[in-house]
Amino acid sequence: MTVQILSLILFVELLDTGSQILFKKSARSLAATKTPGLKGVLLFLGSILTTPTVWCGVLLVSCGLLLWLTVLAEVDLSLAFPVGGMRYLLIMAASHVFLGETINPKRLLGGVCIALGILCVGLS
Amino acid sequence: MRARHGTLSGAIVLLIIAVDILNACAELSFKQGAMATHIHHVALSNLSAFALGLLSSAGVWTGLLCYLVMFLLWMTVLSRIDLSVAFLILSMDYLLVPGFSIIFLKEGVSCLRWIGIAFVVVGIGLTSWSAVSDKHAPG
Repeated sequence: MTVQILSLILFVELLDTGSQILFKKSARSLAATKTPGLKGVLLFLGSILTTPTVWCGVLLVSCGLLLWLTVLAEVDLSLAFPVGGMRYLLIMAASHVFLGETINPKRLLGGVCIALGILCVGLS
Repeated sequence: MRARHGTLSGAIVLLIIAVDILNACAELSFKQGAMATHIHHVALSNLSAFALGLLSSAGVWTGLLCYLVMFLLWMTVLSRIDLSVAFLILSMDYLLVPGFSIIFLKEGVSCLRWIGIAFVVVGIGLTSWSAVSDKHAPG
């Protein structure tokens, strides 16, 4: 695995993480508006579609998919996919920094395990 | 019959397995779509040719269709169980995708790569499990 491919995958997963944070933030602000029934569902859909952060998230996801396809054009799927598991590390870090979620020791151990796994796959 | 929130019923497990398989199929289709462009190294100079090749490949559209169906199933799953439990079972994709790559793409997966994949799966298991046990811990 070349450094170029690794950085591309890192960038794809950063875009993915960014979109997840944006979606979560949007969902938090949307959760306050609750109306029961079909009217509620339509209102919810409407508010999703009119939330700028949702569209920013969709834009990030689309760019991420195009970049991911450029990665797949170059390397094996069985190599790229496990390395993409770094998203769990990025989302863990970003949830801590931007959403104030806690990282307990068990979660940290899981993160170290994922990082070791990515290292092995990257070297294979 | 509607499962109680947080419990894993047989139907929910089947749904999550369906999501697992759809996700792996999407990755497989995307890989085939990328290969169908016959461009092995994408740079700024051939990015537009690559994008056009993707749009005219069946693989990319099949992958997007898989994503769409997967999204609907995933939303159904999430309305019934916790995200962390769902993620735990979703980590099975890290075994399914290399398996599919061997069978359908004739890729070779070395011993070191399997060891790495095992670490990733255990790591995801640990992070998701910590979230599950946090939620059910007393106090």
